[in-house]
Amino acid sequence: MRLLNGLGYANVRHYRGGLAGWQEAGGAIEAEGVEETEIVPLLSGPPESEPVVPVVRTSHRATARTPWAVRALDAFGDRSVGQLLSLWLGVVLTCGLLYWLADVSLLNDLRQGGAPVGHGWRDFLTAEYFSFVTATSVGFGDVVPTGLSRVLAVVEAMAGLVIFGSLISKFVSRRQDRIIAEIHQTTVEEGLARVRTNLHLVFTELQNIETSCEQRGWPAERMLIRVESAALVLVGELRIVRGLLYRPRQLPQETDLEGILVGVTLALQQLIDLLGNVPAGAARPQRLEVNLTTMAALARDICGECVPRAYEPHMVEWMDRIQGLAGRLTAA
Amino acid sequence: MMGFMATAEVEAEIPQISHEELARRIADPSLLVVDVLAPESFQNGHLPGAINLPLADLPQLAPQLVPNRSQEIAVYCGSPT
Repeated sequence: MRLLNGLGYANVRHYRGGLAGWQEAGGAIEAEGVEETEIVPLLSGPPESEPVVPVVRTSHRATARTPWAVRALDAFGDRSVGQLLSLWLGVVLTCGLLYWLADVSLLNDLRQGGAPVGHGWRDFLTAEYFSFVTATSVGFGDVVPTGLSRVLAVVEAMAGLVIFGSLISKFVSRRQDRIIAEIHQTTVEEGLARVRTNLHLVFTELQNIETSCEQRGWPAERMLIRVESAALVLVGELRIVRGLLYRPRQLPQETDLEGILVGVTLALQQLIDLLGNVPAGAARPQRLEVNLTTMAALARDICGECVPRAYEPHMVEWMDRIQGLAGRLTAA
Repeated sequence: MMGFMATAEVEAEIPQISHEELARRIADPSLLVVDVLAPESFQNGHLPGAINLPLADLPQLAPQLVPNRSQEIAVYCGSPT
């Protein structure tokens, strides 16, 4: 909200109930799918400086512009392996039954070695056998369709191929998905470990600066230069932490997240203490001021109430502590 | 404690919109409802007619989607604050 005010929006009000409060009070909720029509009224206002760039919204649903064939294939792709397998078996068995029924109804469409296939239960199995041979596109040719059964055989062969193809591609992509997920997880874990290490380094560096100043009597300028470089690292890490909370590509483990939040809290606390020790006369470098403002803005976003996911209460507590420190950071 | 102090500070600065007013004006095109939650959350459900400006992307997205700086806006996040 303050962020919007900072961007120059003057007429902003905060609805304190939030999404949950709205629902509790019986308000209706809209789900995805209608965003495109909703942007229209906003753009009617006169643009002040920047030109309006159309935002491309990706929707999970296929729109009317997608070719029907792709949509049909997508419909298969969305099914699970089990569903596809049952669908394929269903198609094959049903077709087998239909061939047999065609025989029973005296059409005598299926022929084996020139002679019509009969009406008995063995002949039902023959019909099912023909159905499997057709659907797998093997086509031995020992049983052949004639008449109307030919139409059914063509349709069955096509449907069988498409469904079976989807099934195979499903198997292949499952393997790929698993490998990609594994690579992704390793990257995320390494990233998290790096954030924790960096936060710890910032914290120890700030502590070192403090002891150096107390014991060796460093001048304030020298101290501020080192604080500046530590602040630069801290800003980068805060940016990553905020990304973790608002755009999680993968949920961080609560213990990992807690370690990071503790690291942020300690580093911020130490920084505030250190800045409090700077003699009033010492001029802060301008870049440090900029970094402190950015840091405060980033830390303010890490508030338990605005983070979309529900965390354990003690996590929210850490986030709120960080937010509180952000307030003191700009005051310091 | 510190979190409480910071919240109190925010409250003093940001004007509120009551549930009654929001419910009454939810279909009013002159009031723009902004959801600052993550896109995933927005897709799962949002207030009718709300637009999504995730907090992380707000500085870039806001000028594009809401060019009019005097637009009347109601902002909300997840849980009651």
